Amino acid sequence: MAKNSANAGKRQFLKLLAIPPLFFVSKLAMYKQKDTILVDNDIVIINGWVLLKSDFY
Amino acid sequence: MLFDLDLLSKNTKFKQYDVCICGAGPAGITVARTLAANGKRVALLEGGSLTYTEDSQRLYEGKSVGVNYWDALKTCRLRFFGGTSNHWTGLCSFFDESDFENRSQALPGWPISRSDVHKYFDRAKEILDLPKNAFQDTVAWSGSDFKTFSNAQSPPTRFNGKYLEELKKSENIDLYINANLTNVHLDAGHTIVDYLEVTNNKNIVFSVTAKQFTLALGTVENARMLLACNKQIKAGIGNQGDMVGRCFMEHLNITYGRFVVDNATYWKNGRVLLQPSPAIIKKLKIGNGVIAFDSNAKTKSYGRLRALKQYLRNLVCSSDTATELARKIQDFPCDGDGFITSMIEQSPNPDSRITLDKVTDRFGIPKVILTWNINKLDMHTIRTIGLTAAKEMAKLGAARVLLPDYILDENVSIKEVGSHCHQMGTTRMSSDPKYGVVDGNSKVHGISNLFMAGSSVFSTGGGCNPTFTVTMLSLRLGEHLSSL
Repeated sequence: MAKNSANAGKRQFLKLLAIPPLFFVSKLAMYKQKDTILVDNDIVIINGWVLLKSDFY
Repeated sequence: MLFDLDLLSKNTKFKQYDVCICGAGPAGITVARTLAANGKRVALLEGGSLTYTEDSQRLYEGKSVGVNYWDALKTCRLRFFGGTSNHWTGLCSFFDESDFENRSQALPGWPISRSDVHKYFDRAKEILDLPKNAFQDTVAWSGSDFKTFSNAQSPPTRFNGKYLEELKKSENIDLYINANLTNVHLDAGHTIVDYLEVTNNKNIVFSVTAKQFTLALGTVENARMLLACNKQIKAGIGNQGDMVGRCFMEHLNITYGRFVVDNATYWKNGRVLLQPSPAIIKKLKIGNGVIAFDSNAKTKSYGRLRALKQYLRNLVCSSDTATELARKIQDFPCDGDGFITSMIEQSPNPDSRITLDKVTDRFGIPKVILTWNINKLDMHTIRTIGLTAAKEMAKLGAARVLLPDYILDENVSIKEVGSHCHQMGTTRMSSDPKYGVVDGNSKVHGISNLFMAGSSVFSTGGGCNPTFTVTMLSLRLGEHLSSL
């Protein structure tokens, strides 16, 4: 009886430990890769970063 | 001479003054000193005392129902001798020539030009304790779409400390404290101010007469008093065009995100302040503004758990992998990052306005309701300045900029529009009463002897801190009143 109770406690503890990583992973899953936006002849915007095309090509 | 209205008896008779000025902040004091120097007799009425009191400050309480203006109606302004200069940061700048023009299309620009105002440039520098070489040490910016924001730092000048003794000794100025303006009384034809009703803290009402009158109560209070003095004209004084209180403007404080330094030679001073060039303003049909790049900023956490938040932030920032991971979830600034903030011009917008509440203050004057509105042109200005500056940084190789969604995508609303406590408009200057409250000489349309001073007369807000321009305009008004 006492052993069962101790195991249940352990399981509960492990579940609690799992919450932060699960929360983090779910947030990551929600993160959506943004589209590349072309601005003009020289500039490209990737994930919000305003960059020179020549940085890549 | 200094008089405390709370200590004067009911039967006190005031002298006959040339000019009576209500409000002893930077504008009122500057107009008064200019008049006195020209031999005019001036009554300068200050509603507050010589120091801060909560009782006086509470008279500034009002309601804000538009864009969130937090508690700025009460906290931006100070209601005692010296006015808002008592907590001013001291940053001075001036309008570009093009800031005087019409940009909104809906409303005309200023009826005066920059040269009309800049005649008083050197005198304003002296008043605000700016060095002789102020505005001359600006380092040129090497980009094409922006220019360096020309600015100078006042100590800052506290008008309370600097001018009180001078006014006390002045033979031409009588300064009255605890003198609360409660009514502007017009003659039977409603075209001339007859006298002002001024009430002390014991509720004794005095009458003050003069040849000319000036309201220098601040942007919100100037409009409030014109609207509240509605016993003789129902719509309020100078409100025949329904413009009193309209076009309330602020400078918009938008966070533009982060940047990484590319070429260190651009960041020797750590901070770069840029303004769009007049050519790019015209080409892109935007307002003016200042965009500030801080290459080595410090993060700050807020709230009751700020110590814990800052500790966790520093912990994450100490690991490149953790920082990278955090930044995949949301923008996550760390100490040493480049930060971009701003001061963006708001266009004059009749729907951004001051009106009167049914609730009154202890003198029976209705409190204000501020409906602060930001229109499409302002949003266009915010987004275009951000994107154009980021492109310029990339093209120069000075920095790589990360812009937030709300700048890149016009379908994403801007979460937080901040302000700079630069309250302007509400009795704007226009030669046509349909579009403004005062004419090119700051005289209220339709009233022959009532003038307005301060940033309430600004027809546009420009992209700069307003105090220096307020000082030049006050000198100009002082000279004009002296000539009458």
